[in-house]
Amino acid sequence: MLKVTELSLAIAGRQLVSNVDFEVPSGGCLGIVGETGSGKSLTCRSLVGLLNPIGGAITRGSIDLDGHDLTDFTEREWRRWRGSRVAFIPQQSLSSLNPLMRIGEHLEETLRALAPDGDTRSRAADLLEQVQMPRVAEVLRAYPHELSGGMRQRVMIALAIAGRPSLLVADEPTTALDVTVQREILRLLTGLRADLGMTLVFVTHDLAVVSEVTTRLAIMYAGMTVESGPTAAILDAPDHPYTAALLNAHPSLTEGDTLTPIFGSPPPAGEWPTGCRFASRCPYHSARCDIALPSAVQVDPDRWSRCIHPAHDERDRP
Amino acid sequence: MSSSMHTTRTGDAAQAPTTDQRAHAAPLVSATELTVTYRGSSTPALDAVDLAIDDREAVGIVGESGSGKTTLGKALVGLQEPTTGVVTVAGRRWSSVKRNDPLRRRVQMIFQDPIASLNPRKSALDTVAEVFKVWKRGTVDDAATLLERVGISRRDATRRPAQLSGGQCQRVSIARALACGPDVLVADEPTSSLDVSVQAQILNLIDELRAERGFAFVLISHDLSVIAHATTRCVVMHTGRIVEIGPTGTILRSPTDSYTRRLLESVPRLPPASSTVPRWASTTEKDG
Repeated sequence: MLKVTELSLAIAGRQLVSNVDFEVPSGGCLGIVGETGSGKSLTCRSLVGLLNPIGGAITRGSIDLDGHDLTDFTEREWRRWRGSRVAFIPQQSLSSLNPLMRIGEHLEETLRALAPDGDTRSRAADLLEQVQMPRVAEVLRAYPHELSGGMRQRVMIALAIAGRPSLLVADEPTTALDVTVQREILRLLTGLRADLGMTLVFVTHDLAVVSEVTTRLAIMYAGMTVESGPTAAILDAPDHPYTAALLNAHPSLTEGDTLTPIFGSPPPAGEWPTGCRFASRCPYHSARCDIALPSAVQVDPDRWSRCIHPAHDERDRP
Repeated sequence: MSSSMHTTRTGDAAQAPTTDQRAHAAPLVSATELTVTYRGSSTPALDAVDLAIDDREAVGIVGESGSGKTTLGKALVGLQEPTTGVVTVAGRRWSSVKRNDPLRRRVQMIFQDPIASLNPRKSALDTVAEVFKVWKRGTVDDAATLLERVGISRRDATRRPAQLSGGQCQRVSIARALACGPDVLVADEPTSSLDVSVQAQILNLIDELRAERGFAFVLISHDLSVIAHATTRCVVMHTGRIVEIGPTGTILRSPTDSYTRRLLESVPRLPPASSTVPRWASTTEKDG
């Protein structure tokens, strides 16, 4: 079980994420969805202990993974965990392979770091088989530039699963890929999650993508989660006005579909109002929304929403 | 029947419009047997493509990386020389149209990266005013008015690209293109780098401007949902060729080409929602 509670993150002393809550059962798949600057990438870096290299730190809250509080981890503990217990596919993963190293060397280097004594060569080939790479022998000898975007993403996934992590965090793993390749990678990730029993945290801005691969959702806006719960339930009947607005702005494959944009723009990172951060763009805004940041209200047994609309109060009353 | 209806697959001489046929409909921009091969490459980026853009129509060009859609867009606006074949504008070859020929302003293009496609040292107002000045079409005030029309306030108009958001920069690019008074606007992935809420703003803005000004719109995109929203005719490209062309709705509902089918099957889809407003709001609205 991965459970994040009241998480706040800062970079160089600037609070960029605060009030993030979500949970996902072991072996589940969580989608973190939000627009540019909503804090989703920072949140996922915090899950794998990679805030330090970018000058960030956890300032509040807890990240509980199978009974361990990751916010207490020292750099040394993180080094032991990363790769073997938790793994990360960063956003620019397509350019994160070393251009001077062959694919085989990448894999063997990682495998040696995880288990110095094993037969890294045959294990490297196994890993590529596992990510359904075509022409494995050829790819092991290839340099990154010789591979297509989809193949490089398969290599990144192979590197990430090399240590059989129980949590894999993937930041926009299919955003730069063509739609047919995206489909293959989504299928691969879903298959690997089931085969290896991993928990998958999948960060994206695309609601349609999460609708197909995730079991749970956390919708982020201006550094906080506005709604979280089961994917199907949220997409079927959103509770938070921002979730509803995102759905309405999403084009479908229906010809001549009307799109409803969200007017205005989010508040600048870290310069949030006292009240609800979506208030200035919300069609249901009332004076009460500006008083304080709404806390996450449990709107269903398994579902939370950060909105104080009066309708909530009425429903909560017995 | 418009000549563009003849523009089916590639290399099909029997179906290519003859000069006589085209004279009746006279599309403003038209590509015939257009082939582009980049230097150092053995395979053509575009392979014998025929496409004519009719007055006021909205055409989508969809395909994946390397399908040739951007090359086709650039060739239509005269930014890419054909290796063989012809692209004409008002019946003239692009190569014969001088840089200062007013025909140039009638076909305009906007690009994927709105910040990079604007001059970083010029304010939005200067960028648009320059176009009005060059073509002697208006004053600085006209530029400010046009910027306001696309949603850039007089205050934001004094800012440079780096001080504006991606969506605002795309609005400035649109204003710059419209300042030319184009008959055809080619947009290459105009919303791909934008968030979905901003994408909706930009697509709606283009819809409104088309209704007001009546220019033809060529939308190049990898995203079939965007094509579905914004166009009525659709060209599907694969490895430099047009594999399917026809009314957007027909292609989406019943694609005939196997690649188009694969593309459509790959598009992630949102399940239909039972409520598109917050669920508490739908109950209170009903009650009220």
